[in-house]
Amino acid sequence: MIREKTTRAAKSPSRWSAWVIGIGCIGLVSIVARGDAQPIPIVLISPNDVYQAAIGALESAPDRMSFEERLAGLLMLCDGHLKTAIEQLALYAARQENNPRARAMVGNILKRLDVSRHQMVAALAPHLDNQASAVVEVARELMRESEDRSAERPPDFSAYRALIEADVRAGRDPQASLIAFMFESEPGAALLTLVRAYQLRDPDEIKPILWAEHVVADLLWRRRFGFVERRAVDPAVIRELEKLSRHPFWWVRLYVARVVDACPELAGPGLVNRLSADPNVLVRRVPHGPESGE
Amino acid sequence: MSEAHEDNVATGPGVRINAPGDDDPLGEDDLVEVVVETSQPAIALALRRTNPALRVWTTRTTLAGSEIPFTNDRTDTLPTNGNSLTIWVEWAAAEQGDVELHLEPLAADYSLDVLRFHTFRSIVMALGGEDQAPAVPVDPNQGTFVLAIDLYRQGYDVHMHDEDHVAADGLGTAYAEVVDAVSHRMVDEVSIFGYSHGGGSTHDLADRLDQDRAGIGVFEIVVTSYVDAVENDSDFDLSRELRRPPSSGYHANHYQVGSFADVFLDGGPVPDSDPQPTGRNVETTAWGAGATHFQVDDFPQVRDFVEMNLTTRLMP
Repeated sequence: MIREKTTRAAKSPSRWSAWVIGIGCIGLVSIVARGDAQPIPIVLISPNDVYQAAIGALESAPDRMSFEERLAGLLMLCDGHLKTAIEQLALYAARQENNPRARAMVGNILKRLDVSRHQMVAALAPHLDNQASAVVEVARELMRESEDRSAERPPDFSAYRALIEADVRAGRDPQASLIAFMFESEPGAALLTLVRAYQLRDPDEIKPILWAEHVVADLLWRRRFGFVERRAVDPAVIRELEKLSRHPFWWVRLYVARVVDACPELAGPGLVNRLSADPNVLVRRVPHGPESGE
Repeated sequence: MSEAHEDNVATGPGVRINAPGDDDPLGEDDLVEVVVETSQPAIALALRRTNPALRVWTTRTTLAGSEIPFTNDRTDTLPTNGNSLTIWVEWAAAEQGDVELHLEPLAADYSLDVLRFHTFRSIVMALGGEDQAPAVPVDPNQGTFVLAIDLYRQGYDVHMHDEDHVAADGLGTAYAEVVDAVSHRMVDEVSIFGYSHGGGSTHDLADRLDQDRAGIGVFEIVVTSYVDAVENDSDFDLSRELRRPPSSGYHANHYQVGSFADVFLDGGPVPDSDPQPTGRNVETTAWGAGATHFQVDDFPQVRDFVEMNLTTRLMP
C-alpha cells in the first residue's frame, strides 16, 4: 500500500527519513522537498501480515506437497490483487536481502504469478522513491530485469513510457525518479523514449533532440567498434551537447549530464559548471567530473 | 609460488604487460610482489635481470623515486631492511617475453635464487554465484573461487568477480578488464567460467565480447564453463541458462535438476557442451546423486573436470 501526503514545509530529507522509518509500521507517510520545484513523495509498503505469513510459510514448507499447497493458497490470495502481491513480495525480499534462498523463493513466486513487464513496472516504479533503501534496491533489480536488455538488444523502456505518457496526458508531473532511473540505464534510449512519452508534436521541437542523440550515438558506436579511439572526441558532439544543455526540458539536460558523466572528455568549456548549477536537482546531482581546463 | 615452479617458463610467475596506454580499470594492479629474504644480512645483495623489459620498484604503484635502477642489467646494493626487502616487479615493454631475475651477492657472480617471469598471453575470469563475494583466503564452499585460486597458483592471470560485475548487456568491470587485457596487454586468449548467476554472467560477458570484437582486438574465447548456470538479468531471475556462450571454442557444462530443496534453482542442458552433447547432469553420477543447486559447485569432480580441460587448452 502506498500512501502519500503533501506537506507545505520543506524538510531536511535526513531528518524526515529517521522519523518516517520509526513510524513506518503504521503506514504514516509524508513528503520531502528536494530543494527545487519537484517534491518527491515518501513511499512505504505497509506490511500485510496475511501476505507476509503466506510467503514465509513457503520458505518453511517441510516437503514438496506442503509447498505446492501453500503456493496454491498464495496464488489464490494474489488473484485480482497483483499490485499488492508484487509490493508485498518486494517487501519480503527487501527484508531478506542477505538470504539468497528467500530471494530465490520470491523469484519463483513471481515466475508462477506470470507477471507481465507492464504490470511489474506499474507496481514497482513508485518504490524507486520508497523510504527503505532495501525496497528501492529490489524495485530497481526487478525493473532492470523487465528491460530485457542484452549485448544484442537495447533496453525495452515501453513499460516506463506508458507510465510517463499516462501522467503527461493527465496533466500530472511524471515520476522524476523513474526518469532518472531510465537515464541511469541507457541515456540515449531514455531520451528517445521521453520525446514520445512527453507527447512532443512539433517536428521543429523533436528534430534537434533526435539529431543530437544521433550524433552522440554515432560517436559512441564508432568508439565501440574501433572506427575511432575509445576516447575519441568529435567537435560536432560537443556542439550538440552544448545546445542540449540549454534546453528548457530538464530531462533533456539530464541526458547531457549522464553522457558527460560517462564521457567527461565530451564536455565543452563551461558545460560542467552549467550542469552543476542546473535548476533541476537531478541534473545537478549527476557527478560531472572537473570542468574542462580546470 | 613454490620452489618447484618458480623458474618454469610456463608454470612459473606470470606478469602482466604494463606498457604505456594500459587503462588499469581497477587501478594499477600489474606489478608482482616479490619478497627477498636473507639469513645473512651483512652480505650485500644485488639483482640481475636477463631482459631490460623488467623493472623493479619498492612501491606497488611505481611511485616516483621508488625504482631500483639497473646498470648493465644489474642493480647496486639492494636496500634491504634487516633480513628482508619487498619489491614489485613490472614488465614495462609492449611485447611478450620472459625474463630471469637472479638474486646474487653484490660481490660475486653466482645466483642465490632465481625467478623466471613470463608475460601473460591469456586472462581467466571467474564469476561466483549469488551472495558469493570473491575473497582471499577463499571460502571453501565457493567452488568457483576455489578453482580460481588453484589456477592462479598454476601461473594463470585469474580475476575473481562478483557475478553482478557483469550487467545483463555484458558491460561492467569484468568486461573492462578483458578489453584492457586484449587492447593493451597483448592478451589474445580468454577463459570465463561461472556458477549459478555467475554462469548467466559468463554467457553475457562472452556475448558482449563477441559483439564488440571490432573495437577490442584479436582474441579467442578459448574455454568457458557453466556450473548450474542461471540467467542473470536480476537477482530474482530464475531462468535456466541454456544458451552456449557465443564463440566459445570449448564449453563445459554441469547441472542438476532443481527441486523443492533448492527452491527449484537449476541449470540445464546446453548445446555443444562437454561432456557431449549437452553437458553432465551430475545427478546421474554416483557422486552427484541427489545434489542440490547449493552443492553442485563444490564437487571436486566438477572442479577437476573444468580445471583439466582449461589447463590443457589454455596456456597462462
